[in-house]
Amino acid sequence: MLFNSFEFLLFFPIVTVLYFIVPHRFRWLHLLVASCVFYMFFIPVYILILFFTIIIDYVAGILIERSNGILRKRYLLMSLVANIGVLAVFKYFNFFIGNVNTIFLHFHILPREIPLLNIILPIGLSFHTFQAMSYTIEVYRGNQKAEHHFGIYSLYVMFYPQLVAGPIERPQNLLPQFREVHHIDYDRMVGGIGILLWGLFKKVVIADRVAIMVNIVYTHPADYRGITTILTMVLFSIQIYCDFSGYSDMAIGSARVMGFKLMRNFSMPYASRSIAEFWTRWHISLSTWFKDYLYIPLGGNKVSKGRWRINIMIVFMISGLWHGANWTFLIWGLIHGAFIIISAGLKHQSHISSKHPQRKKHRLHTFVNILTTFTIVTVAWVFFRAKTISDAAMMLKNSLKLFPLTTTVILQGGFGILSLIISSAAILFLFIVEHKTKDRYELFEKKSQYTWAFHAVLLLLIVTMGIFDHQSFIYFQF
Amino acid sequence: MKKLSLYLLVVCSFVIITSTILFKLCNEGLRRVPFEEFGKLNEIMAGTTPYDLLIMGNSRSLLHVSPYILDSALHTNAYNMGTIDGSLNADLALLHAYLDHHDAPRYLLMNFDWWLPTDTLIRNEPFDYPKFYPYLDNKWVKKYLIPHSPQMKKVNTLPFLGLINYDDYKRTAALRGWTKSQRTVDVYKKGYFNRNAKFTGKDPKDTPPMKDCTFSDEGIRELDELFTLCNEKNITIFVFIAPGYRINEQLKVRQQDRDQLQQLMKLRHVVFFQDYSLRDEFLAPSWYCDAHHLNKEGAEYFSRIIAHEIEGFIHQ
Repeated sequence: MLFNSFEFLLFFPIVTVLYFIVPHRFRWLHLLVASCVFYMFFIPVYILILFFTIIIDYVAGILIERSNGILRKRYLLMSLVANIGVLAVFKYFNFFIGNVNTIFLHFHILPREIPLLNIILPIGLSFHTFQAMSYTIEVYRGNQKAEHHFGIYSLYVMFYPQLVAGPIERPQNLLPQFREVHHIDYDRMVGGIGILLWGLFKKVVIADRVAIMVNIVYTHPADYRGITTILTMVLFSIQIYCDFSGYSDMAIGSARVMGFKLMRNFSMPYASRSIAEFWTRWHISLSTWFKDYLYIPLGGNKVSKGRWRINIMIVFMISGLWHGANWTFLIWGLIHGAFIIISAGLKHQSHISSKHPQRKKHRLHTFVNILTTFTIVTVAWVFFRAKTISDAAMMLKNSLKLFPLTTTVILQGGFGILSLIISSAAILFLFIVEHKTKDRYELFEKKSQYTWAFHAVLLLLIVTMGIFDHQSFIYFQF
Repeated sequence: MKKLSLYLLVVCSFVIITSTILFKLCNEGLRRVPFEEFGKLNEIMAGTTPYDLLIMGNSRSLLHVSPYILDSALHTNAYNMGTIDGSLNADLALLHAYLDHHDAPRYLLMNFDWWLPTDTLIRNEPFDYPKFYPYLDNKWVKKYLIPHSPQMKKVNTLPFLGLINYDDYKRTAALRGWTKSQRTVDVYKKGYFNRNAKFTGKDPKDTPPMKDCTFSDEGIRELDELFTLCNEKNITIFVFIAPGYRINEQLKVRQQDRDQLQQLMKLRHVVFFQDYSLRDEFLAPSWYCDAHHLNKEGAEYFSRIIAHEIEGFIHQ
């Protein structure tokens, strides 16, 4: 089920009202059933895959807790192999075999192609797999007690607001909340609705509108150049932010209405002054996951410089592949990794060469840093969005052909002058709201005499200016 | 709880009332548009210009027959009522609505595709259904289109939901309708629309909407209803099968359906020209902009053939 669908418009109030009607001891069951219904709107049979990993991790958690020494490690390994195995089959098998076929057929090592699996990737597989893995790792580390209630553990993996696109929760934060008694609280519920509306606004008014132009240009990258290509690259940066952070807001908002507090996933990422800072603001739940479960176990920054560089590249390579089984995602990850290493090197150099105390950073300096970071991120997104490496290369090459200084695509494919005006106004509104409030949730949590009016206007803008053509969320595919 | 209920009531009421008003205003704006798609729909649904030859059907009528060429050859005043992804339901609704406001034309020229009377086409939601929202209260839209569209049913009951189906093209058109601004170039000329692109003959996506064209009872009934309506209004019906680049070769049509169609046309005095997709001259991809549609050059050539056929019939 999509958050931007008519079905969700019915599903959400029904589930919420029932949640407060049902006695506390049965609420987990109610939420679990609702989450199953939510997930089964996509491909119903795939819920079996979800339950397969749930059972494995549930059992693994209890076994890890009960055992000592090498056995603990084995049980953890069993859980990780099962989770990564599911990912490997559904997400990476065809990518791997496709590459094997290309190489082996080229050198005539294979007589014919190895057949690919004819399967569709279960929606949000990487998200709930990573969330499940964080549970068994935390139990293994002794930071979390094993969950003995199978229903509550299942709900930890399946909780519908964040089931298909995160935030990737940690057991320490989410599991205890399923045992808390949540009451109807006006301030919390209105705040949650506000966050939900804000996310929906970003998705349907901005992301899905600019997607019209982005899709046209990325489908035929060779046909466009100069301003059109550059504008499309920038618009994709905006689209992916509004699409993904919009989803996170809707997840956080809908959970908050029922009394659950999910972790923040974004914090004005395009205001970052470096790529390293960008990763503390973008998809926070994933970047902290990689930091806690991969980067630090690899040695983090407490190793030699050479080893640190390798660690960074490993983390970003895996982060790229986490997003999708394609060389384009790998390159996207490597670009980010490379720029973190380069900027760390430059920072070190400037620190050595400067004998004076660090210069006072003025506004222009900050602005240049933000602009440089945004440009690097935008160029990297080209690899993320393009279907192939050659398409991405074509986009970048064509973006340098500046003439003619006009754009033709704007009036094509449904993206007209009005679309441009609405998009620009909405992006400006987004910028004002998110930058003026520093933490954008602050606006929705504070009691204000204007709350009702703000929510009413936001909802009206969604209804009147939204694009409701059932476009899925970009991150659902991961 | 009381405050929460009041909050929901106030916010929702405000949005429902305001968006209902905006939806009505938008529809009013769209009903005033004199150009492009809405201009054409407005001419059909509420116009009064008399035409003596109507071209009807789906995009293979819309893009294939130029009213200007028919007019110059036949000295008529023709109008192309073809719609993109049209269906028999839409044809019936549009023809009835047209006849409510105009004198009956002398001739009706219609493209027939083998997939038109199939269940899939008859039961499909009308293509781009929001374009009919300004005319939701029209009795023919109510009869022929709303029953086939869950979304139109929903909007008919809850008008505030209508705006979410409008895209920026329709929103812009509504604004233009209110401001009475004109298009410098109206792509629809007497309802006719054409494309300049050249087809290479190699686009694998260009397959027919369906390969199995088994007629449904409802499809035949609607076709009969259309022919009967023309008979009642003394309109001479000309039917042709438009050229297509090898698309009809892929269709499976039962002999009994072919016979049924032939009988129906005979019964309702329909003049059937021929299946032009079978003519050798239309096997060249250069006539087309895609596998289903002729380009401008192809459409002009085809229109001259059609004009010649009609002329032959009239002189007979």
